[in-house]
Amino acid sequence: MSDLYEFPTALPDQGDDGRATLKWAGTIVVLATLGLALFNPTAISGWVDDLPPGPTNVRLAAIGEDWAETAGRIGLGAGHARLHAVWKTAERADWKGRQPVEMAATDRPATP
Amino acid sequence: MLFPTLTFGLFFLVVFPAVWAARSNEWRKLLLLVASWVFYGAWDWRFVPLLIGSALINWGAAALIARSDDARTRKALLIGGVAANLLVLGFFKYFDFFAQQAGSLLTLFGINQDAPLMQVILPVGISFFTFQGISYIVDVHRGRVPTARLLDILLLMSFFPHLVAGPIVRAADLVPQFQQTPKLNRGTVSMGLLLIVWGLFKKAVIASELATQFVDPVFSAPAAHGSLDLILAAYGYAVQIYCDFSAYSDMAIGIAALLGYRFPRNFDRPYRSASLQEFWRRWHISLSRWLRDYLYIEALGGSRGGKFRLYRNLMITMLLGGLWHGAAWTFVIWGGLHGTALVVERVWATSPRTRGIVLPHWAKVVLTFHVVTLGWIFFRAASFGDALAYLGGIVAPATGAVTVTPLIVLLIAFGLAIHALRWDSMTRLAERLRALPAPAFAGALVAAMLVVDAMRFEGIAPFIYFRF
Repeated sequence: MSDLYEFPTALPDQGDDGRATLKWAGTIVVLATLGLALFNPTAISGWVDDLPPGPTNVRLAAIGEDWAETAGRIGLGAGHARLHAVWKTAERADWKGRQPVEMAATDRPATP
Repeated sequence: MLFPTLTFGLFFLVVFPAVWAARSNEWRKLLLLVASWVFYGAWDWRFVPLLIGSALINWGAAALIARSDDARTRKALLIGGVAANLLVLGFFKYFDFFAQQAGSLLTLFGINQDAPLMQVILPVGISFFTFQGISYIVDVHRGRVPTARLLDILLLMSFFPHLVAGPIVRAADLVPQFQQTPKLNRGTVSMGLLLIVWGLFKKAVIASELATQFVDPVFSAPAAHGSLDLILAAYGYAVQIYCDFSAYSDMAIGIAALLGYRFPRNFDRPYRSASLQEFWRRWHISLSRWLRDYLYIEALGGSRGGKFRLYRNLMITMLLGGLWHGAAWTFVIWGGLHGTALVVERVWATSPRTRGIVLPHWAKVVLTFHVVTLGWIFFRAASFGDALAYLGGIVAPATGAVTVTPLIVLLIAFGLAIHALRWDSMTRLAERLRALPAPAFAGALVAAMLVVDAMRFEGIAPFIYFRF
């Protein structure tokens, strides 16, 4: 078996300059982080909400919510939200003509 | 700290630049070591000393073995080192299980003695790092690897990408990499990022959706479901466990690549196997190779000593391999089922009466997949009784509900269809991506991750193999 089979990330070096590659990789990581923060703002506020309560986290939560609100106003998260809605519709889709199944008591989500 | 979470993303955003900005290779390794302990401590700080102690024992045992010229002393040190690892694993993972079994056995003889249960907390990843330690001292004893410096062994056993759920990376693979200053090339970075996104998709979309929307409800109340649901949930679990575990391995391999290190492949489209023997060459490759090299061949003698010994050794290896997965009889039965199937395959291939009967390749693939899926029912069920009830529900006439949805069927079909891809499909894609300018690559990455995030089930369930 080849080295590439054994080690999937061992792609051949095409005379890459180490420094230039690092700059290239670093740029990808930074731009991808910014892109995700821009287009998926609810992920940040959702994450902050899950942090243990404390003065710093309360401030962070406020910043996260402000950002989610601003991004929502400009429509930055619209693409993500539309895709999510399509996925939820696919989740709910059922076979044609089938009656909804009565869930067992244990399977039902708890109601407040 | 789970890989597909924002917490890990932020952790990696600190580690990645810090590691590449390190002044020397020694500083880089020290940084990685501290980062690995922070990563491990995020679960439970109390077990970081256990991880360090385990590395110290293995480093010390190997150093003493290498220093000794006397074969008996070397053997005694090897046995001592292996026993120390097994004691750690045995105490944390199996103490309560064996205490319970001993209590049940005493009850059979009329002695009613409460088992001294200690409610031992299982440190995450203990099965992986103890096996790594054992392989290091056995390899040093056999002269397969030279002894390594303490820093390298500490990092070998603590390195966060593989620490909690593998792959089991051996010293021979990783220590030589630690001794050199790592260098990135565009191909490695492309492949690393691709594996991370692909792993994220398999875990967050396929495995999580199947688990929460179908497999878990069916396995928790099999009597309430019809045969079709039970059959499809078994297939669903086969896809779920593959997408869950291989996703972790893919992400681990990708993260290590971004830090400049290469890990071995851990999965290779296992459900296209035409025999159980082939399945174990494609499923959790680092564990099956470990079991083959250190248990089946090294400790039990492999196929030396005739047919009976070969069959016995196969059974012992698979039974212990099953027990490695968890302290429960269902795992032992799962291992026993695989061991039996492996023995049957050998007998079938060598017996003069059966060796002429050869099934077409596709039939062998279908048969192997169903034997593996049968095993998964025992693996997934909470008890032996639950597994039998589940199987009974498949065989009995359907009376329960059929709850499977079109999306679930599609996900199961997709999870199986990806096994038809070429082994190097991802490599070929990475070769194309390496030519892209950074902004275009980042744009593609963001688009892919947004799609995954939009499709994923709310929240992230822990990886199945974290329990092991």
